[in-house]
Amino acid sequence: MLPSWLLEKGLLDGLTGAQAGDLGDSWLNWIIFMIMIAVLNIYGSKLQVQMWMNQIARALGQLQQLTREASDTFLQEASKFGGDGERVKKILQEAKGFFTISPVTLDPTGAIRRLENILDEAEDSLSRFVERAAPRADSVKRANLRDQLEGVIVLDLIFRIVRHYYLLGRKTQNWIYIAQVQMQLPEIMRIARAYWRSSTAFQRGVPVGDSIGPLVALRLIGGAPVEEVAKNVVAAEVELEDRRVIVVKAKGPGGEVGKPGEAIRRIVESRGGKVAKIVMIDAATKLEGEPTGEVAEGSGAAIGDPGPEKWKIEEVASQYSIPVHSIVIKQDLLEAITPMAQEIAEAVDKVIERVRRTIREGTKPGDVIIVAGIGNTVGVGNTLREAEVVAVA
Amino acid sequence: MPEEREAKEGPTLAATALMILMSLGLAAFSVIIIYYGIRAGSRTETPGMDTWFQVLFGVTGLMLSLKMVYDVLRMKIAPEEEEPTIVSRLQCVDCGHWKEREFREGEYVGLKAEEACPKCGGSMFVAAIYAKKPKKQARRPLF
Ligand SMILES: [Zn+2]
Repeated sequence: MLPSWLLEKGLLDGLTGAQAGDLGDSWLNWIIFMIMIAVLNIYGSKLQVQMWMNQIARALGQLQQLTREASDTFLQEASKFGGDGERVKKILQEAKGFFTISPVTLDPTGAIRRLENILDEAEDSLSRFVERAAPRADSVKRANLRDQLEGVIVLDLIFRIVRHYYLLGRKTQNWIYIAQVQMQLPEIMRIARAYWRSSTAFQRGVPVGDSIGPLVALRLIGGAPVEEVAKNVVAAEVELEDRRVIVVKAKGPGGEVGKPGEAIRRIVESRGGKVAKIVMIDAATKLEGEPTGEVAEGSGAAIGDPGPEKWKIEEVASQYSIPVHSIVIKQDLLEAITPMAQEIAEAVDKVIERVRRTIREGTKPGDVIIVAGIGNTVGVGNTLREAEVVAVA
Repeated sequence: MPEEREAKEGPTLAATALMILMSLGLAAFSVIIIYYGIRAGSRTETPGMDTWFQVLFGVTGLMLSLKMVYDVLRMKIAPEEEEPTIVSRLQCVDCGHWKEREFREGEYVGLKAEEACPKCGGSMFVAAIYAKKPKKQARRPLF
C-alpha cells in the first residue's frame, strides 16, 4: 500500500530520530501531541471566528449581488415607462434607506390613527418615487413598480445590517457580533432570496402566495359588477346560499393591498350595522411541518397589516356585535411573497366550500354578509366581466 | 461584473485544488503513521502507548481529510435552486374544461384568454396563475 522507497530510505525514521522502521518509542511523539493541543487551545477559537468571517464575507457578496439585480430589474422596468436610466438610478439611490418611524405609544390615545397617517405618507412617498422614475406607467404598473421598489429597499436594508455587524465584529474583534450573524446567516439568505424572487413576480405581474385572499374573492365575485368603496378596494354584491354577500378585495390587477378595513367599516355603517357576519380570507404563516395550502379557520380578523385596518374591522364589528370569522391558507413567509405555489392556488375550491358553510352557519336567508379577500392583489383582476371588456378594448 | 460575481459566489478553482491537495497529503501522512504504529506494535507482545497514539492520530487525520474533501465537494456541487415555471390555468366558461400553458406577459387572473376551448370552442378565461415546480424536484417526503 505504501511506496516502499519511503520505508527503505527510512525518511520518516530520520525525522523522528527513531530506529529504522520504527516511528514509536520516541519522546518526540509526545512533544508533537502537546504542541498540537496547545495550538488548538490557543488558536482554535480564532480559527473558528476567521472561518465565520469568511462565510459572512461570502454572504455579503451574494447579498450585494441580489440587491444589485433587483435594482437592475426595477431600472429596466422603469425605463420601459419613460424613465431615463441615469435619473432612475438617482431616484433609486434616494429611495434606498427609506424609513418609517413608529408613533409614540407612551401616550396611547389615538396611536393607531397616528400610525395610519405615517403609513399613508410612506405609501405616498414611495408612489411619488415611482411616478418620478416611470412617469408613463399606468396605475396597475405603478403599483407593481412600487412593490418592486419596496423589495429593493428591504434587500438593501438586509445588506446594510449584515455589513454593519461584519465590520463591527472585525473592528472590535468581538466574536459575539460575528457569531450572531453567522448563526442567522441561512435564514437571512433565505429571506433575501425570497425578496429577490418577489421582485421578478411584481415585474411580471404574477400573483404571489399572499394573493390567495383576492383570488378567492374574485372567484366569488364571478361576473358581478364591482365598484370602488374605499381607496384601492372594490366590492361586489352576489347571491350565495340565499344570502346577500358583499365581496371585498383590493383593486387589481396591480400589486395593491388597499384599505379593506376602511371598506368594511363603510359598508357596515352604510347599512346601519345590519350585517350578519364578516368572513375574512387571508394567507397565514404556517408552522414548519404543516403542508403548504392547508386551510384553517378561526375567529377574529385575519389581516396582516401593521394595525390600522385590523383595528377598524374590530372596532366596527364590536360596535354592532357582528361576528368576525376567518379562513386562512397556510404558507411560509417565503411563499407569501414569491409566485403563488400550485398547492396554494389549488386550495381555492376548498376555501370556497368553507366560505359557503360559514355563510350558512348562524345566519338566515336574506341576511347581508361581508366576505373580504385580504392580501396583495397582484395579477388578480376584479371581475370576469370587466376582464372581457378590457380584452376587447 | 461577471468576474466579480464568480469570485464572490464560492471558492476559486485554485483554492479548491489546494484544499484537495492538502487533504490528500494529510490522508497519506495518516496512513503512514498508522502503518508505522501497527508495525511497531506488532513487534512486541503488548503494544505500547506510542502505538495507540499513532493509530489514534492516523485515524483522526484520515477522518479530518475525508471531512475536508467532503466539505469542498459539497460547496462545489451545491444543489442549484431550480426556477419554477409560471403557468396560466385557462378555464372554459361553458364546459369547465381547463388546461395549463406557460404564462404570457400582461396576463392576470380573470382576463379573457385569446384561445378558444379545445373541447367545445367556447371562450376561456385565466382562472389561476401559479408557479409549477420542476418534476424531478418532487422528492419523497422524509416524514
Ligand atoms: Zn369548453
